[in-house]
Amino acid sequence: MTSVDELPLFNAMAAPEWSSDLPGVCAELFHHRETPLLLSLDGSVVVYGNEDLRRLAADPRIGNLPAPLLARAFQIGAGGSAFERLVANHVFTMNPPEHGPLRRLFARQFTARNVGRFAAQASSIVDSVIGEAVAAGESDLVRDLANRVAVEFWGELIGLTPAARRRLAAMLEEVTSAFFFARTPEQTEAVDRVAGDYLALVGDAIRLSLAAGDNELLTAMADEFAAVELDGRPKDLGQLLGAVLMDGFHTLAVGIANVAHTLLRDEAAWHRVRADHTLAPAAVHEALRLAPPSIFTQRFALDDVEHDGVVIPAGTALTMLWFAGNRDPERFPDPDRLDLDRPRAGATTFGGGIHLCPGRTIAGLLIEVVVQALTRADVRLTGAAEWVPASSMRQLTTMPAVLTGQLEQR
Amino acid sequence: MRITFVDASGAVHRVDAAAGTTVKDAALDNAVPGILGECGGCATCGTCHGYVDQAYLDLLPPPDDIESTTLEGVAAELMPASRLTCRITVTDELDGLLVRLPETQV
Repeated sequence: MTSVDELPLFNAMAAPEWSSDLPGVCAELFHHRETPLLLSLDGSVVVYGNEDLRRLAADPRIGNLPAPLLARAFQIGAGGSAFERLVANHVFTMNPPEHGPLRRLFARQFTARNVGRFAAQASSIVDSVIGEAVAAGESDLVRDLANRVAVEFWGELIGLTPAARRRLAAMLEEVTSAFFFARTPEQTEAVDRVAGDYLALVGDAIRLSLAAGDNELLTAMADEFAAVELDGRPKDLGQLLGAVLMDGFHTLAVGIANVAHTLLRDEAAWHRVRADHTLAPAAVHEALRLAPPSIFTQRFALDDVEHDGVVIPAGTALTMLWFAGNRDPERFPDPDRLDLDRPRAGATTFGGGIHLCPGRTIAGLLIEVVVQALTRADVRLTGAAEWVPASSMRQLTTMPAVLTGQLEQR
Repeated sequence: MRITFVDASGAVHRVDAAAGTTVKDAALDNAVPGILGECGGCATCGTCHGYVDQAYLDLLPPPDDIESTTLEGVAAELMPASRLTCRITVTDELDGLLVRLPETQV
């Protein structure tokens, strides 16, 4: 048996900008592949192989990192900070018994069977947003497409006013620094403030919509929430859903931008999808495999776990390198190549286990709609896209482009 | 134990699986197309949905609450024979199991 302290160090994380070269980091990881687990500089266990990620994610003894530890890992605020309150209401920091019923009340509305009912709304919003971009000429596909689509879609579902949507769009840009490996004190203060403002804005909108009594989606969730009689649940649906939708707004927007950028950079793939829109789901899945929004997240050993001869003691944090699982050559031959014909199985884009992202299906639908609409227009990137350099999110800050042409009738 | 999968195109895939493994893993280990298993076997994702032949359905314990909830959201048609293959453990009496796979899992 090997103890965690004896694991080789994952040296690549020593340089903050390591996240800027994911193919390079993966090549290094998989070239050596000395042991299935490594040790990070912060003392957490690093998991990177596809099979190891999937096995450990599916192990019920590997839970979520509790909110106080997550806030500490993010280095935002001491106990009781707005950021900590926000993440404490998120199912991504919950463990049994609260996790299951609270995750389910959201996930149930967005299963593969149920998301089709949002398709028309998604198409309408995407067409409108792209139509505005065409009319404007020069656009930033991050700000004017990805962020707008995410804000408009979820904003419409929960009843955000146009003014609130504009405020939210600004918040999305400010909250980006939450994921930075290093922040200025001013950035940290801003993130904490925005976390509080965000939860108030979205939580209030949800409460108002519920009070109006005409939002079937929220009412169904509220009914299910009321039946969850656990001390550890958030105080109301607005607090829970507000926290969960931080990913609906921010991570979805990052995903839209990453997919658009990845496909626009691959001329052959772009033209294939343009000629055959039935390839859109494969294109989205494959582009997200190469450019997943979440580079890594942390999990937490709820009990002692033995994994391939390594004893992971209860209380140990695990750094799950989801991006690496997506480029594991044992799982994905020629892993850096965008291959629209690659079998769809095994990607770790959305995590795994019982904590698998509950919004992955609706996110996939929205991004497919964006890809279909974009490939009906003419898109030309007009400047260098810029990536956030040192962050746990693979995120573009800007993607200048010109959109021309008329959107053809569906 | 022998398991036969029939995918949506009608193609037949016969695999051998050891007792104790799950039917989902038997499919993935043998690259049977039509099973995704995105969550890794926690009955969370509903992407290992299959239709179990009636002759074997009665040999299985009924779905628990978690499996039932997830089955409600599967992409393809839900039928009385619908099960999540991650919840079926291969046993001696399941030798010869026949599972038909749906047109889509997502």
